[in-house]
Amino acid sequence: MKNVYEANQQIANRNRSKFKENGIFAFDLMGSPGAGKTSLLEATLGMLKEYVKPAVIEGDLSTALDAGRISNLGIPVIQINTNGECHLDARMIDKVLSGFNLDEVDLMIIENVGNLVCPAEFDLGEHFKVVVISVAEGADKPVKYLPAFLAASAVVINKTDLLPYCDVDINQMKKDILDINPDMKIFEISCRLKEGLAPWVNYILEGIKGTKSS
Amino acid sequence: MHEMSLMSEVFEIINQTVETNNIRQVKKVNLQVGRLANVAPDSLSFIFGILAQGTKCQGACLMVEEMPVTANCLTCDQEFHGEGFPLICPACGSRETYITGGTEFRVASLEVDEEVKSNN
Repeated sequence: MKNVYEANQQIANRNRSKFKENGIFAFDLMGSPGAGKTSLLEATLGMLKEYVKPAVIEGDLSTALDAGRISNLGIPVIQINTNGECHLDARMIDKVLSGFNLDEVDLMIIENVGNLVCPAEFDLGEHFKVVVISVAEGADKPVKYLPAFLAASAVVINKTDLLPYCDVDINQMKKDILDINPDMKIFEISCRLKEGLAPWVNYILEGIKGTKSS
Repeated sequence: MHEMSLMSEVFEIINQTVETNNIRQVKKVNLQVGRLANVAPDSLSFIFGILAQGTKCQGACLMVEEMPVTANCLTCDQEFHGEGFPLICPACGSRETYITGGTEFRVASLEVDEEVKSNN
């Protein structure tokens, strides 16, 4: 009996050890294309960089557009182009970690390829996974994309400023998320209006504090 | 859709087994795939056929056993099959549960012909 993910798991464990040795708190940001993953990073990093030293790994099929957006904030970033692969795996993360000065990092955010399916299956060595979902995607996404919501510890519901224009019951969405994963932390955010960010930023800061003290 | 890269991992596992056990021909590959594993059995079979060409798996049969969602109750320790969410313990009604099965993806076993030992 052999676990098909075992090779990935071994490298993920190595990445996790590397994060731990360097006192780095890491999380994996998953979500559909256009959910607002990079916008969330821009809004979050703008607030966080006052307090911590973040770094970002960007995953996309192609282009360095997202890395450019993060780099504009003066934050170390490495872009991974998967050339068609629908998710990041632990090997890809392992390859780029040497490109960072890890002594100078205490928060590593990995933005996965835009996809609500495949990234859920691959441990990258992060402390936890976060799903970003926008209200414009529809309230039924959590029940349709179960594994992502089972794998994640937190959900950011983004684009709440669009609620008046979307036929979406956000309470139903939250109930469905909690039915799948009763321990899920849920944050309601509008990146465009910079609303609702404080609890989310505090959540990350708590995670970093936990890593430093363990 | 990552069945291609997963199937490549499956072949890594098969090839290691083939090499270390003097296997002449793989006749059957038994996989176990959880209902929550995000893997489509039809795609697996299709990709298996392509990747098997020219290998010791050519002509082998791929069996995919779909594994149910199982969970354990943290309140009364009952193990149960999960039918949809929320997972609720059928014995005591608790929602304090954790998933024990249904996300796995593994190579369960291979059925093979072994190499006939020669003195060369």
